[in-house]
Amino acid sequence: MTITTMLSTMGVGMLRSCAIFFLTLLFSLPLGMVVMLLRRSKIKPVQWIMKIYIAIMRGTPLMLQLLAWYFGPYYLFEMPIRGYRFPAIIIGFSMNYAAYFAEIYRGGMDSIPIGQHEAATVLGYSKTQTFFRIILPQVVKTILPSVTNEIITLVKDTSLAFTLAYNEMFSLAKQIAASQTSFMPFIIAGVFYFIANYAVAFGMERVEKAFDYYK
Amino acid sequence: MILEMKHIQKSFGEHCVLKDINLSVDKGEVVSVIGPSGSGKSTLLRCATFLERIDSGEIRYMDTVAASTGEDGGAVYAHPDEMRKINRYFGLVFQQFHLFPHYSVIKNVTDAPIKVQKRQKDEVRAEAMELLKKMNLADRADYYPCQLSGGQQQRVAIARALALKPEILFFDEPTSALDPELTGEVLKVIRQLAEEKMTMVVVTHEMPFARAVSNRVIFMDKGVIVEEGDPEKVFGSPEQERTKQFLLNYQQ
Amino acid sequence: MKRIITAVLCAAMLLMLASCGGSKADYVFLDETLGTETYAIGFRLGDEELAKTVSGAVKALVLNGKYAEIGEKYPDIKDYLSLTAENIDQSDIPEQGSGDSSYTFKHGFDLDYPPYSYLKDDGSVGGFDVELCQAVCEYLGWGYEAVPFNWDAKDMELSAGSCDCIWSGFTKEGREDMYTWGIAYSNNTQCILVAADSGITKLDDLAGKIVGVQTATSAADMLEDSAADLAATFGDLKIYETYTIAFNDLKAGAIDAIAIDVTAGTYLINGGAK
Repeated sequence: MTITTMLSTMGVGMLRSCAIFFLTLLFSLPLGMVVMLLRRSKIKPVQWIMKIYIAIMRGTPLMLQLLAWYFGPYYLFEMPIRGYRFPAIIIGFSMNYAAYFAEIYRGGMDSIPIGQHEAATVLGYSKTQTFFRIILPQVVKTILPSVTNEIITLVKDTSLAFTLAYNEMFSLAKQIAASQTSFMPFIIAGVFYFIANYAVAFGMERVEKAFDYYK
Repeated sequence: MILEMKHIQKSFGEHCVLKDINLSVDKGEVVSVIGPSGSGKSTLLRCATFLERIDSGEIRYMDTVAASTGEDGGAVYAHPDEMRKINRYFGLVFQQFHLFPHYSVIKNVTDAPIKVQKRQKDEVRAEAMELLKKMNLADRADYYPCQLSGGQQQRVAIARALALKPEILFFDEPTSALDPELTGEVLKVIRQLAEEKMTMVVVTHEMPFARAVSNRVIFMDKGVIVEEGDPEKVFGSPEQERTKQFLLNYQQ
Repeated sequence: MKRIITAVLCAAMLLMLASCGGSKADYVFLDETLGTETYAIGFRLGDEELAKTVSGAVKALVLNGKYAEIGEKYPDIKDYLSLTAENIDQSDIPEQGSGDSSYTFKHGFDLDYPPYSYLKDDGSVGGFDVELCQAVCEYLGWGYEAVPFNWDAKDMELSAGSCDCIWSGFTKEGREDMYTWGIAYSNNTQCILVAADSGITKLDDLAGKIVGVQTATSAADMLEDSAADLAATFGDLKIYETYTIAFNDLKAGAIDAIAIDVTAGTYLINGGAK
């Protein structure tokens, strides 16, 4: 097998890895915000449910969660799961990362001095305005480094999708390496992850720079 | 009468912070509130600006009832819509400024009038520039709060509060967080506002300033108003022993 | 309180996954197979002497009955053990205890390839290949060292020298030139496992169906090489990290068939390690 064939085979896997990556971000970033707001809800049971949810998502391996999301409907409700593989992967990843993002957001919210809320209240901003105009932009700035870390972890975590027989890039690398007794696919995989994460770090650095105009 | 507070009670848990406080402020009056720390001065301001809920009593702004004692003896606040209207009557300047760090000076001043009061952008901006000029900050309009000194930041905070055209402006120890050499510029601005007959309630530790600027001085201790009256009288010949002690301690 | 609820929910999740056992009557192998292969011991290219010694010791164990005795412990595979006193050439058999007693033989194997090599419930290693290799070392007077590894990493482990051989249900076909091969000691057949009521009875029925296979196994290799034409008729070929997950997918109806060797397949149907 030439490197070109390897690359084209693994290219398909890269697209799949990217699909997991972008869809997970698309769903988990806003979902984390919802979880964080519910976690801070004044209704105690809602708070508890969110605490338990976050505890489970952070306290169990993502691989186990993927299995549970995929096989759960079948073993619990006898539901057919044919064709449910990819949705289950996206649900599993999004729910897991939403929990991590929620905790990051919460830390960001807590780091905003109470005086900012009070100043906004006295100036007459509504709760929604206060959140979106005053608090959120400051939260975003403080949490950017942690979010970058999480996104980089996500790039590498995409390989866990293989648990559900989804042949993303790294599982293809392993297969080719095994059948060709070659180390090359792993080098290609490493380069891919490195480039992807470099792009993430570069992009996030630009975003951080954009927020650099104030301290 | 711009502000009227009657029989205000406020406790934090077991600790009673305000005991049957009565305070009214007329248009154009400048009232200074002095007293040792922990006397309840700041809590009084925070109750007047609804940052804290009172336990019982009555608060009125411009003859509109904001809070009153209900049938069960606890405080009842007006409907949120009504409260939003009442909110426009006052402004508050914090000890720690609390400017919005992600907004430029001009945006700090103009954002609330545009987004909350829904006023015309150009008009608000022109007025804001006037205010900044008055605060001697016209050249700092496009700076960010982190690029300003404490005194400058506090003057921006005053401009931000004034931009909403309040009937009454509260100051919660406006110079306590400032280096001594910067307090002058802030006090000068407040003095200037007093000359323009802006109605103000100033919680302060600056005794000479309180004496010179206010029409009325209130001395608070342990949650009650101990003495109240003309500044010359309160500072010159206080009637109450506690007032004398406090002022003596201050002179040392 | 929060911790208790969390623990309960986690336990429920684990139970759900653990309940993925199976009853043997529900799954059958198709009579038609993908092909037969032989399991042999792979050594580093050039390690001819070592291969000869170990192979000779295996022959000795066949002759003294130890080979069959170990086989009795593994009913799932004993029918596929290919060596008998009659069919081996009796050359190059070393004397018992003739090995260098200071030498330790490093046995490289897949930790998760029952019944050839696997982790037992008590944490120790076991399996036919492990026991046979231990017997070989005992016969020669060598020390034995277990080197369990991730199957994907087998070539790196071997060339790096962390093990002396790959001996773990290791298929010789298709890899003839990549290793120096020792004796072939077992046969295995690559089969198709389906639900008994699936209506699939022959290979042609697999056209348009979804078939699962574990990555880097002989079955996967066959579907890529000798049985590639058959694989082309499948609706989809799903490649799994482990057969356990594939079997769950088969039970849940998410796939229609599994390509697997007969011993591993029998092992799955019977519900795993006893």
